Parts: sequence; C-alpha cells; structure tokens
Amino acid sequence: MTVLTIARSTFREAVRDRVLYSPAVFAVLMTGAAVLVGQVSIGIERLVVINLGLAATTFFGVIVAILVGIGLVAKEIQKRTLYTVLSRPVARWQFVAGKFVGLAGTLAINGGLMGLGLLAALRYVSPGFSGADVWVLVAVYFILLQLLMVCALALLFSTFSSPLLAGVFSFALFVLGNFAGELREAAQGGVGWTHHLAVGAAYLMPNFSAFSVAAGVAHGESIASLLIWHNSIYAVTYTGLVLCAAILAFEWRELQ
Amino acid sequence: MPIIEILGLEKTYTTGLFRRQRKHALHAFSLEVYAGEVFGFLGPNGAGKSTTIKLLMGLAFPSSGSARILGMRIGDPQVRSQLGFLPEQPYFYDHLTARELLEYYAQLSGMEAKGRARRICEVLQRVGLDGAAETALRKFSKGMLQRVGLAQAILHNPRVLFLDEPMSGLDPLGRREIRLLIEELKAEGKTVFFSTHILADAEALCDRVAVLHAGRLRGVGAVCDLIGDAGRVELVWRGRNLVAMRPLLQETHISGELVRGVVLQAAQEQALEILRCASVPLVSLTPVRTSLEEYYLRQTKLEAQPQEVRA
Amino acid sequence: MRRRRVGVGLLLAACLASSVALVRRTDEQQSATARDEMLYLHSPALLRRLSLGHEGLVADLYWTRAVQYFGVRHHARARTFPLLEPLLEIATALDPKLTVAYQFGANFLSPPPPDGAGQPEKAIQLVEFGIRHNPEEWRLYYNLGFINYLEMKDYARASEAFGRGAKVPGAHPFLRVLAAQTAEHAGEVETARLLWETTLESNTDPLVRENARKHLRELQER
Repeated sequence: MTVLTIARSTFREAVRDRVLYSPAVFAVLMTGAAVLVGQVSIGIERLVVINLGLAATTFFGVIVAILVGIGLVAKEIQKRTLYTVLSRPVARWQFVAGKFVGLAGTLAINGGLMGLGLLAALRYVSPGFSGADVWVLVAVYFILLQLLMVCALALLFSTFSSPLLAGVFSFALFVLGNFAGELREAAQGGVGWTHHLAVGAAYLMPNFSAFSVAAGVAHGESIASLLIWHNSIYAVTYTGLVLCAAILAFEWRELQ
Repeated sequence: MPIIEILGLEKTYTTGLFRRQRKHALHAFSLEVYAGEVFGFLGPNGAGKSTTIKLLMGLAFPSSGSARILGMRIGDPQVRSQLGFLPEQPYFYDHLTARELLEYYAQLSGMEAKGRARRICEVLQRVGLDGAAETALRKFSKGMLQRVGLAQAILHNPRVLFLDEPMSGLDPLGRREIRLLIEELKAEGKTVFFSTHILADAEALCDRVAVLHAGRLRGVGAVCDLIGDAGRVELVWRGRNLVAMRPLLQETHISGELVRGVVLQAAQEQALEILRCASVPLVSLTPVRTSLEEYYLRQTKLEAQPQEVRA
Repeated sequence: MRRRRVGVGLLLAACLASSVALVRRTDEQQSATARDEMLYLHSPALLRRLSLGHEGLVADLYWTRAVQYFGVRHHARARTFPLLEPLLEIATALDPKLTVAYQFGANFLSPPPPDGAGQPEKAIQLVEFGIRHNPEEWRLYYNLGFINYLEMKDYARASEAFGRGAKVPGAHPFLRVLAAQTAEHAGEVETARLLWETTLESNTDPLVRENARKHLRELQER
C-alpha cells in the first residue's frame, strides 16, 4: 500500500513536471518530419517514418527515463524532501520500489504517446491498416522495455551519486548496452583475472542488442514470439537486479 | 521509563579522497528525555544538534552507541508511526498544494481514510494555513513552509515530536504562535524534543535543556534550576557615574541622564549609601537573575567580560 | 535604460549581419565540389556501431544523400560521381533489405555520363550484393540482366540473370521471355524494345517510366 502511495505521488509529480512533455512533443514532431524527408528521397516514405519514429522514440525516451530517474530521486536526496517521508513508517525499500513503479507508469504514458504519434504518421504515408503495423507496436514495446531498464539504472546511480554523474553513468550504460554482444565476445579473449572481470562486466551491462528490431520491422518483417518472451523476461529480471542493487545502496545511504 | 534513551551515541564521518579523514560530528554521549516534557537541545551552528536528530530519526546511522524511543530501537519503521519530525529548513514537493501534501503524508502514516480530511482541515487551521490550503507550495513563503512543516509533524497525532529549529524563518508573531502551539502540545501530553539556538524560546518553553558544543554534550539540567538568583542587583539612578561607585560596579550602562549599574548583593547597602551621600536620586533597584544565555555561554566557554557601555 | 537596450539590439543585428556575410564569403571561396566531396565516415561497420541499433535510419539517410548527390550532379551535367558508389555501399551495408537502393542505385551507376556514373561493373556488384540478401526480389535479377545486356553487352550473363529471376515465385512473366529472347536474339532492336517495355510495365515510379518511354521513342525512330 505504501509502495502504491509513493508510486501515485511520483507519477503525479512526473506528469505535472512540464519539461517531460517536451520530449514527447518533439518526438511526435520528428515523426512528422519523417513524412517530409520521404519526399526528398526515393521509395522510402514508410521506411523513414518507421526508422525515424522509432529512433526518436528511443532517443527522447532515454532522455526522459534518465531525467525522471535522477530528477525524482537524486533531487529528493539533494533537496531533502524525503526526510519527512522517511521519518514516517516507510521502509527505504518501499521508497525505492514506489518511486520506480511511479516512474514506470510515466514512461509507459510517454512511450505510448510517442507510439501513437508514430502510428499517425504511418497512416499518413500508407493509408489503411497493414499487418506489419503490429510489429511496429512490438518494436515500441521493446523500446519501452529498454527505457525501464535505463530508468532503473538511473535510479540506482542516483541513490549514491550526484544527479549529473548519475545521468552520465546511465547514458553511458545505455550506449554500451548496444555493444553488449561485442563486449562479451571481446571479454572471452582475456586471461586470468582480466578475463573474469571482463566477462562479469560484460554480463552486468544491459544487453540491448536483442531489442533492436527497427530495421527488420521497417521492412515488414515479423518478430518471433520467442524473442518477445525472451526480451520481456530479460527486462524484468535485469530491472529486478538493478532495483535490488538500488535498494541495497539506499539502505546504507547516510542522508546528510 | 524514559521516552527517549540515548546510550553512548556517537557519529564519525569519514571524508577526503580515500575516506581517510575522520570528522567527529558527535562524541559519545548519553541522555534521557521523559514523557510529557519539552526538552530543548541547544548549541551553536555545527554543534551536532541536527546530526543527533537525524540519528534518532534513522536518517543517518550511529558509528557506535544506541538509542531507544518508546522502548523500541531507532531505525524500526514501526516506531516512526509514533513520531513527528520537522527538519531544519524543510523542503516539500512544491508541485503539491498544502492539502495534497498533508493527504500524501497522512496516507504514508497509515491514517484511516475516514476522518483524514477532517484531521487535515483541523491541523491546517491550527497552524494558521486554512486560507492557503489550495495554494501550491512553490508559492509559499519561508514562514508558511515552516508552518506546513509543523502541520505534517503533528498530523498523525504522534506521541513524540522532533523539531529541528522550529522557529526558523518566522517573524515575531509567527514565533509566538509556534510557542503557543508547543505549549498546547505539551498540555496534550506529548513529548517535544526541539533544537534551537534562540535561547529566549528555550527559556520560555523548555522543562529541561541540554547544551551541545563541538559535538560534545556540555551540560543538562532543568531550566528552573539553571536560571536563578545571580547574587547581584541592578541599580538605576539619574545623574552621572560616580567615582566612588566604580570599584563596586560589575557592569555599567549609561543612557542619557540615566545610569544603570550592576553590583554584588553584598555591596548593595554600600552602593545605596554612596548614592545617598551624593544626593543622587535612585530610580530603581532590581535583583538580577541568571539567564539561560549565561549558562549556555558558560557551558560553551564563551563568557562575556565586565564592560561599560555608552549608548 | 531604453537607449542601452536599443544600442545592444543594434549591436546584435550588426553582429548577425557580419557573421552571415562572412559565412557566405567563406562558402564562395570554398568550391562547391570541395564541400561536396567529403565523406567523413567511410566504414559501414563503424556507422552501424554509432547508430546504436538504428542502422536502418542511418541507411535511409545515406540513401537519401545518394539520391540528392546524384540529382544535383545530374542536373549540373557532371561527368563524374565519385561519392555515389561509396554512399550506396554504405546504405546497403547498413540495410541490406533496402531494395530501392539497389534498383535505383544501379540505374544511377550504370549509364554513361551525363545520364549516369558510367560504372556498370559497380552497378553489377551492387545488384549482386542485393540478390544475395534478397533472393526473393525478382526485380533485382531484372536489373542485373538489364545492365549486363545494355551496358556490358554480355548477353549470356543477361540471359542467365533473367532466367534466375524467372524462377522466383511471383516474378513477372516477361522474365522468362526475356531470358529466351536475350539468348537467341541478342543485340537486336526487338530485344531492346522488349526490355524497355518490360521496364515500363513493371515500374510505377514516374521517372523510371518516363525514361523507358524515352528509350522506346528512340527505338521507334530507328
């Protein structure tokens, strides 16, 4: 119950924070711009709408995920608003869990808005519903899963470092997560402790390579249901791992 | 049984690049606070008052020692349902209105939904914010934020209140209202533990005080025991400062044609005789009482020197 | 106060005007081709990594750049198109399923200047790459046969390409006809006419259709 109370308050704060609407609006505008780009090229209107729309949803979604992740936790620690929360019968793990649930709701709304904008632009360039549009929605779902993982990372970092550093670390892990496959391969080549450390780091990194389906979806390719299950379960387990780490870090955090 | 028991509580921070420098925020001390009393925790800035309160609220962790509140160890989330806390210079979620903020805190405190709205109205009225209940907190002045802080501290009717500098940011009228509120809370049987560096407030409100300086507990005592007859009297006469009086005077203050001098009680008769012989009219004769300020300065080893002040 | 604001406003306008003038002067001094010939990132592998999972978008951008590059130089009746092949290579390496890049790209590369880049061998390489990654696209076989026949005059390879394409499910029935025609009547006007008629019939792009009509008119006049 306490977790839900904190989640509701977090969601309300994020929604009232007007800066969070800007990326969503911008992403919708970008998708609209994709319609224009198709007119200066040949034969790629639908491709550009999907590729640009998904890229804009990812990029701006990551900005929002990091901003809310650090803003709503690191800001609370910095401004000491959470003193009066933790002085109540609220366990620290409830605070972290409640924050995350509220942020997840915010990201879902934001991602949903951007997905709707993408579908609207798609309707404009290719009227009529196509079966391939379903896979576009699945691609948006995959992006949302990535955003949840990035948000959890931002929350983890903000429990023990400054807002700026938390943002930098989160963004760095988002970028590295797209190279996770190559990092794992490179890690195999080491020897002794270096090898073990490298392998450990490579597996601790979020693995986003399996979530990148934009290119295939743009060409109308379907997504295997096994991949959908796999990515969903991976997102849940990875997010769970990061949240547990955040709870542990926060349990030991001295509030000054 | 004491309501608050502090047993050898100590706090050391490690700072520096490799966490090699140690800073003693609090040296080990023990203290007891009893049910229904208003306890003042005095000390200059940086003495360790806020650190002590944070340790008791579980916001920071002691390096050694322990404490119990209402018989339960600090850090137990369940004990916090009986506590109210007003932090120093509080911040709140400024996108919320006062009513929404209190509603949020009421839910977190586990208050029943039924009666919550009525209690919120009651508390807002009590702190003088019933007219600003629907205003967003970002528009609140510092004094209003302090009041809403008090409101959230008393909202769930706690048995023990921890107030860190409750008068901070308030004008004289606001301070008086908060003093009255604290007196009411005491009358309701609550225990109030508050930190301040405004000694007049502590003197007016507290049953007992403790003085903290540079992280060490310097003294504890009942206010009525600490403030007493100083063994001195103050004489006010019209005229000039007489040469014969000077050896007797501990303090002198001249304002226009009035001279105010403080002498030991033992020298009272001698001083009066000097004035009579000089035919100087006596305006008043008043016994001097030790103020809490003097006790505080003594405990923190910053006594004032005897002085002559001309206005 | 008001005079100061006006003064600052005038200074702002003056700075803006001078910076615009300086940029225009720099542009004039640097030749257009010097600007145009810069391809900062050559490696598809590097671009794939930089795209962070959105290589399709980067491919679209490079394809668009290729279209714009060809269009501008074609309009200027340029004789060389040095960046065309690298741009097409990057676009198709990043998105091997970008079939429009093979079809149109081959048509940009193969004709002699000023209609194209005059690089039919590069066009064939491009289309072969496309066929490897899109074996179900019959149009690519058609493109391959077309280039082999018209530009390379390699009628055997043209016939073979048409024959391979004819086996793809859903292929245009003319491919089988073209395979036979190019094998038996290579070099004849009738064969060329058949090729261009097939192009006209199987394409919806107005530019391609106009080009096909132009060639058919030329054949008619012979």
